[in-house]
Amino acid sequence: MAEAEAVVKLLGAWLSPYCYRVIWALKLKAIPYEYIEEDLSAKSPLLLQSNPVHKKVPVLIHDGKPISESTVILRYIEEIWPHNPSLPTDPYDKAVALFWIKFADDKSPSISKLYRSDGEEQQQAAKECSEMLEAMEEQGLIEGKKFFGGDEINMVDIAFCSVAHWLGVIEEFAGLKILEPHRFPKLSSWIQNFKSVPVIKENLPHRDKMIALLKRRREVLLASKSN
Amino acid sequence: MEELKLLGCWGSPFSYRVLWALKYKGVEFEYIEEDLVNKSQLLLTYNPIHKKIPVLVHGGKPIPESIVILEYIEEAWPQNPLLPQHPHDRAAARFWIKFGEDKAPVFYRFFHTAGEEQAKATKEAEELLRTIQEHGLGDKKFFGGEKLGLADIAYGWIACWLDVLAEAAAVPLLALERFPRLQEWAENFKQVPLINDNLPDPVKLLSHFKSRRGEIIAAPTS
Repeated sequence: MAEAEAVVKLLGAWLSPYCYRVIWALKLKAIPYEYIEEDLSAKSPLLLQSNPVHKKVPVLIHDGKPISESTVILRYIEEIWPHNPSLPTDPYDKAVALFWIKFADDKSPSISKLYRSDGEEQQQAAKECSEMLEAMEEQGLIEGKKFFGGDEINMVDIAFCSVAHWLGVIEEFAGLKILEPHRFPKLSSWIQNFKSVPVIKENLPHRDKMIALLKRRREVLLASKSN
Repeated sequence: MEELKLLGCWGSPFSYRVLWALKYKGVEFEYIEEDLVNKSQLLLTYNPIHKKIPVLVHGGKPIPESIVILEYIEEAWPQNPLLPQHPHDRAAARFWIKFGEDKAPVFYRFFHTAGEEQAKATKEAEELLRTIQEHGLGDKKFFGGEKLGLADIAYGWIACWLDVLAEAAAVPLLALERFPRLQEWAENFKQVPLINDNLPDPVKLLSHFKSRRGEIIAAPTS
């Protein structure tokens, strides 16, 4: 009997926090999927066809139809598979959640800028990261609430994945310390809680592998800048 | 019904997005014009993180960020739906809304720059408009098909602000007529009755943006 083609496919790249958002969303809802690792230096025809506008991962392909942009994918998953909801049902609470998800999307690129730049540019990125963390600490996280989603993680927690894992690794690599526990006690607690959730804990890229790749990427980027 | 207020700015396309959505849904609200040079305590309280308009305040609870507000309006008032039924079509609408939002700073750069920098920014803006025209709109009447939707409202700036900004910044390459399908879409958009009754005054807009452009050019560069 011919093997049935997977109904859900995910095109991803192992280092990308945006891809993990989708992996976690699928796993939290126990949705079976086929994962396809993309080589971003030699993008597959499937990727280019599925995301002609951005040519980026992640792309979810469901019943042959592609959806791009991680937060758009998360909303899609939520609508097709509404069990284990990851957004509040009350419209106002949902709007607050969407505000923070957009904030995470808009501000997260500053984190990767930390390893992609040096000098003044890196300092500017560090300032932007600090401002993002301050907003999360002062306005986003509520004393006594374990997660943005309350007792369980939701789409907002998932959207802040870069802060939870990537920031720490990049800080270590770049020799920076922005997320100081005494300055950000609620955030530090949140990170520990988030990374203890089994689905998250079991599906995170390994620190050493990340550092090795970041190092190579940084060398290439800085070399091309000086040329 | 609970009290509904919109803090906005008459010249802002982001403010108009919310106005159009509320009018389309037939919802009553109080409009409060904000002075962005002297931001009110109300605005700073309601949007402490970004300190920007628009902010929708429903029953005393604030929602900032125009595209978050649009989704809220759709959810809170389901009549005259602005998003399609099927999740895949909704994803397409959200993809294009996000595209416009993410690229806005790139797009508006041509208005804030001069000389070589402006030439580069103009080229980038042109490419964005072509992408929106070819991939977003395609052959459809509206972004979602036959009916007005949230994506059209989100791209309302193309219908009412693009020509104004292009003229004020003296950039003919970005005139709407150079994007025929977008131009046709803009006509259809402006003819939707509830949009048609709530269009910004183009003369007032042009005068405002010409003077803004004058300020930008006159400002000393660091």
